Amino acid sequence: MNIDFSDVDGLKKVALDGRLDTAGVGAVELRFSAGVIPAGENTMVDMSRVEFMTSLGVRMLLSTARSLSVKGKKLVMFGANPAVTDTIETMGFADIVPLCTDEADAIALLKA
Amino acid sequence: MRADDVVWTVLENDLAAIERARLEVRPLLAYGGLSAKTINRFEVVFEELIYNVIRYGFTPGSDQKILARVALTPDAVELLLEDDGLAFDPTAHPAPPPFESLETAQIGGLGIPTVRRFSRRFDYARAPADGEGREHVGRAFAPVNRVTVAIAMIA
Repeated sequence: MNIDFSDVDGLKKVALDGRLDTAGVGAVELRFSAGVIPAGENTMVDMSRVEFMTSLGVRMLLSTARSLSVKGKKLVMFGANPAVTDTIETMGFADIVPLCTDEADAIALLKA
Repeated sequence: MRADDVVWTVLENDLAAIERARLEVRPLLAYGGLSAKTINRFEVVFEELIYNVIRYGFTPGSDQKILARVALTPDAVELLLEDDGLAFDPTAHPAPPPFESLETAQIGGLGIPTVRRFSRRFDYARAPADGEGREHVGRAFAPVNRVTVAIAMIA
């Protein structure tokens, strides 16, 4: 599981690459939260290279989104493949953390 | 069901065993020509259930084990798990309240409800120590949890 941080259009972008399963979350959770929460910026998570996600992945994203929310900032996801989208929608997670189609939609939502 | 439509594997009391077992099962799913969505649902169910057993049902460092049997039928992927951990009925596990806001969302507890939603059938039994019909003994004469799940094949 790899993670990459960048700045795009004044927003923080986090690209996740690999499987957000037990091993994958264990490998990136600390880096993910440490790279997002202290910065306190509106953040978009590029899910396009996430092959698979379990409830542990949702927990990681949810706890970080909540921490950003306390600072008045948002976290959104974009680009999930159909299988990961199925998992996210089945869990109802997209009801509270938006899942956008692509990066442009995510930027538009964060800047709205 | 043919013999080559079934895979048996045994998982040790170690979270790293989940990935090893997944890789053992994967060729069966590929051989069966399952859709990516079906494979995803199976793998979510497989990982969530096994994670719960190892994390909450087993004693850390023990030699407890999980037996997994994966079988393809014409319209479903069937999973049988037997473990000799603490008695736990996942089918009776209460679902967390639906998400309403980030502030009130319960963090955690989503795994088993997702198994329930992804499954056409989800059953549990506590097999007695020397009961008939057991697939696997585990530790000699210890009772086991037996979970059976069927995930429908979808396009």
